[in-house]
Amino acid sequence: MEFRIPATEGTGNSGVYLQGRYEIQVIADDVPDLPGLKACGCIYNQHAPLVKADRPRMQWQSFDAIFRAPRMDDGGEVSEQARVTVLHNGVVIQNNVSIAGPTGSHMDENIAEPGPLLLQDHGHQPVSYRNVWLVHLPEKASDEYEPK
Amino acid sequence: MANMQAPPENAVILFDGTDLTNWHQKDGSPANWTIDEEGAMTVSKGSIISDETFDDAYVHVEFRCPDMPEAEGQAKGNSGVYLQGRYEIQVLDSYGWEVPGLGDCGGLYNQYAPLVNACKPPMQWQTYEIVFRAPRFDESGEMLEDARMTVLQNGKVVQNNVELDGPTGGQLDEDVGDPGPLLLQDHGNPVSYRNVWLVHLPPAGSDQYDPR
Repeated sequence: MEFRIPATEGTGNSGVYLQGRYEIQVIADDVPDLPGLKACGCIYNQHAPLVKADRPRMQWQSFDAIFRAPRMDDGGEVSEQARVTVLHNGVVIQNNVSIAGPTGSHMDENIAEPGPLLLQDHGHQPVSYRNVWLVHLPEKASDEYEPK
Repeated sequence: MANMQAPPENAVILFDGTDLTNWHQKDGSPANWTIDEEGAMTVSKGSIISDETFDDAYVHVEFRCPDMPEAEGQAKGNSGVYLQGRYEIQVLDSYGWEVPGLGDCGGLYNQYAPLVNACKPPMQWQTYEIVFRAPRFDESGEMLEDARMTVLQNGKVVQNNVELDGPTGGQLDEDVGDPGPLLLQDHGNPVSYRNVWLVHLPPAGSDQYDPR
């Protein structure tokens, strides 16, 4: 997906929620005293971006996210947390990190269920989006050695 | 050269088509794969190992399997890309299989088959984009999280944030807490490589404000 922070209005705060539960933060890079855990490209309040890959306001930017939903055991307990790898403008900013549960303002906590993409309205922040798409990934590959 | 992904400015160039000065063999002697006039190097006389070592990294590799129509299975265009010399992404001519297995191209050898068959036919250049996360340890040296990888083959996700169960076989060493090199495997078939580079990744982001 691609996004653009507005020229002057506010901090450009928005967010991309995977499954409506796990937020990749969108915000301008010129917000003063912004901690890494709330910076653009963070998994909100859990994982700061590895590096700053921001472009200035009014330039289109991209997130490429490879998302792995949580895995459950037979008893319905989480056996593996959600994981994500994110590239911001082509630069790796999240490297196969585990997400310890939904981030703030999630839609629901039904973490075993599929969920939608949510683009956040954070109020009076006219962030723009374009070219938003996804590819479904199979949950699991073959567990046999020989191909078929 | 056309249709090659240019490395970013902060990339460490491991092979740009000119020479093998950044590589050696297992016994420490110079790498001696053949390099053609188009800037491709081809498997010859042993696996080669990068001088550069890494922990977490983004690694770009382009490879081309030879056309071996008479060969089958693991004898067909076999090679491999070993992250840290320990974790192999298989290189094989697996073109055409509907359900690739644990030994097929794009697989983490014998641990994770590729999610889809993203292979191109032999003699076509293919890409691996690898986002590698080294194992994590606690203060006493116990492993907390094993190595993880996300891999795109020809732009398609074939490995999705998977966690390995130790080295995949044929590894250089078992020193899983140490940085390691990139190893390109000689499995007896004339597989070619070009445009090999990596970007080191920090182990974690900073939660402190980092003014520009």
